[in-house]
Amino acid sequence: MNSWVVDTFLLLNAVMLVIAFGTAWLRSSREKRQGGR
Amino acid sequence: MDYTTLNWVLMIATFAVMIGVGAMSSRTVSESDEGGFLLAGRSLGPFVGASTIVATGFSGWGFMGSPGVAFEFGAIEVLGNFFFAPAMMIAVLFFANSMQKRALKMGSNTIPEYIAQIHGGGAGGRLLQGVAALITIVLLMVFMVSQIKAVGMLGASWLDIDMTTSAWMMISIIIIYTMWGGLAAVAWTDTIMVCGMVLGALVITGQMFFSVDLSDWVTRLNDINPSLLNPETAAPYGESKGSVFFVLPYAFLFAAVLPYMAVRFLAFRPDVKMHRVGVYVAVMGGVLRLIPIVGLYMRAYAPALAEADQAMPMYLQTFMHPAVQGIITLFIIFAMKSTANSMLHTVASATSHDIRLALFKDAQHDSPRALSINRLAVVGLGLLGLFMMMYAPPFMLSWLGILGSGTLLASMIGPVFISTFWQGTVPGALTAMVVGFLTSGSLMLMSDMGWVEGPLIGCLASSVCYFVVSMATRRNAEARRA
Repeated sequence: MNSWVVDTFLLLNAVMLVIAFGTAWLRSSREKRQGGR
Repeated sequence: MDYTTLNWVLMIATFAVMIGVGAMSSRTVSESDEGGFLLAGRSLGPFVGASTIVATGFSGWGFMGSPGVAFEFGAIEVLGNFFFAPAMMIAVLFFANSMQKRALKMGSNTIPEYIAQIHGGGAGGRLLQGVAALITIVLLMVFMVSQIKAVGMLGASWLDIDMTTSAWMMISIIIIYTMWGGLAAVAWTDTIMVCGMVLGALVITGQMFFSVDLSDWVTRLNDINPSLLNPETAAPYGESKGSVFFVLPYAFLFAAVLPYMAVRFLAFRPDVKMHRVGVYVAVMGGVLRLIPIVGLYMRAYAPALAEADQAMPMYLQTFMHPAVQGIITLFIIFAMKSTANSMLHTVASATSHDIRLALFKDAQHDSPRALSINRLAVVGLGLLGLFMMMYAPPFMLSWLGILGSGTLLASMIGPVFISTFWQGTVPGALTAMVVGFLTSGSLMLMSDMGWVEGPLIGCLASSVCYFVVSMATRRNAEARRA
């Protein structure tokens, strides 16, 4: 968009969602693995 | 059609729902277990827990103040305000679990009590509990008064009544359900309110983005002032562009350390998975943090505003149907009330539980009268907040208001946050609280430093003192214990 503020805002929104859903996916798959043993 | 009547119907319906929630929540409260009232019986699930964290951290400022700042300073405010969403998520994902486990093991019911117990309890612990409770009461009372005032003013114009009557009505309802159901009532009403707030944010964002062409919006802003989208400084956050990024650590500590935020981590059901809470917090927080964009929309499409603070009221008046305007105003009132009820519950707990245990050595933890004392404190402090709003000298309120939650944060970082990973001593915690309070307080009152930098320097000074004094007094503490 040719605005460093808006670009940073959009990038950080994406990073936040990746961390939230990524952590949830990683932790729940680890729990499933541990539960399966 | 008379839309004020619709507003009254909405208000009466929501008041009835909230009192009903208070009555239902009272089932978690029992006469002999203070955890029921103070921590909702550690019963919060992932969605309710996430909702109360987001609702409490998102005050009326997000709806009313922040769009005004965005109108005046541009997109930098949208970025600065946004940092609260990832900060809360990080606090939930990477801190809440550690704190919750330690608190559960020690049986802590409040943050001052957590501070006392993590530093070994006894007379030193009671001293810490008393000091932490006192700082919490002084600094949060004034914040609560400002929320009561804001909700009173908005309610007055919404219902077409005078401000005092409006403030009385709003605070009375908060007192009733908080007194009845304790933290469970606060958390459940917060959940209902945050759903409204998120819906409001979606309606506002949808209206803005579907009503105009994005490139036209950008062109208009650049024609008015190119620095609205591409600022050379991070004003109002600081001179250098990087200053805005300091909001992230500030907001993280805000979520992890402040007693009215952190106490929510203690109230989760022990089996709740924090990664699920993190997802809800990120999504709800992300949506709510879109609201300041209203300031940019108003700057581009309705430039004639007498005051920047009028950005949101004028936006609603100009671009929303009166009925929708009334409903969104209700959601803005929700944002203010969901912060005010959490503060009332925290200052009441600090008074009835922490000060009582700190002052009286033989006070029982779960005494049969504790519930009545806790409920009485909610009524007393709620009314005190209302009377302070009406009669306290304005200079006192503004003086304490400047200290605000930033100074509380600087006082609590060592005893609450660092102690969860590295245990200091009682003198270390006491010094950290006093130094954090004085450093942040003096910087806020006597320098032109912003609301982010002053508290962060206070946090640094407080953390160094916590570590150095604890190391210096550790041998004495160990010898005494032996």
